[in-house]
Amino acid sequence: MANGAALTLGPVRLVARWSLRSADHAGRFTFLLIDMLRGLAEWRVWFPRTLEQATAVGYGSLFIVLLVAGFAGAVTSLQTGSPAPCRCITPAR
Amino acid sequence: VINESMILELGPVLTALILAGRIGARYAAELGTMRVTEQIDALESLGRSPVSHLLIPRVVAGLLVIPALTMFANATGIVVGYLTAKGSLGLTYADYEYGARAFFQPLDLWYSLIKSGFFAAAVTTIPCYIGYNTQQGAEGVGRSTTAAVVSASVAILMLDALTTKLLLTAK
Repeated sequence: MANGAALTLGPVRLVARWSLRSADHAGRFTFLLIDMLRGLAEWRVWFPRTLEQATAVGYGSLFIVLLVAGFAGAVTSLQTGSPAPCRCITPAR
Repeated sequence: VINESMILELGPVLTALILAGRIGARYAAELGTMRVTEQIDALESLGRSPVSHLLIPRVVAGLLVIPALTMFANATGIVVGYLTAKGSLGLTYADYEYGARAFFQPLDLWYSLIKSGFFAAAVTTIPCYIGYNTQQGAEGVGRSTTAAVVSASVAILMLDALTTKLLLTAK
């Protein structure tokens, strides 16, 4: 159904539809996980492809991960070391 | 402070969020394209399991690589943090080492590894699921890619809150 038509539905129907869709996704996701656990027995099929994927993902992402981590470390260091402004309340004399 | 921040929070979460964008989009787009061009159906018709051929290698590779990348990120953050402290704040290596050793606990590294393992599961399985169930042609592939990155990022932040609560209670 188009979005415009969905908006005309009552709130109860919308919530019910959203709940059903969520339950549908949860069920499918669970079945997919079970299928993956079953498929682990076929290690001759997935093991060589795993090495290819790990190489592609690991080397491909290394540079950007290290770059961002380096900046995060530098910023944390600067913020930790910089003198904090004094927010003390001066006692009344 | 730098060591604790990097190991406990910034290293695992930043790495996982970056990889959710990189790996999540890649997995969802690859699998979605295979679904809409009926390559997955062809595999099934040949009697091959698409789960063993396409999904398990991606998920296992992510589970292996993401914790390793997180450890590299932690190390890089700590080293760059020291260099920054030395360059701009005049901190000596002895002072830095003293501060780092005073607050370091070996359990923190396990904590970081466990966290990154949870994040790796989210970064790999959610985009694989979304890409595997893509529908409606090229438009569907784009929608799946966006949904995969958004869902994986939200899952990472939710898992971050959950694992922090669980692991710090255990600590």
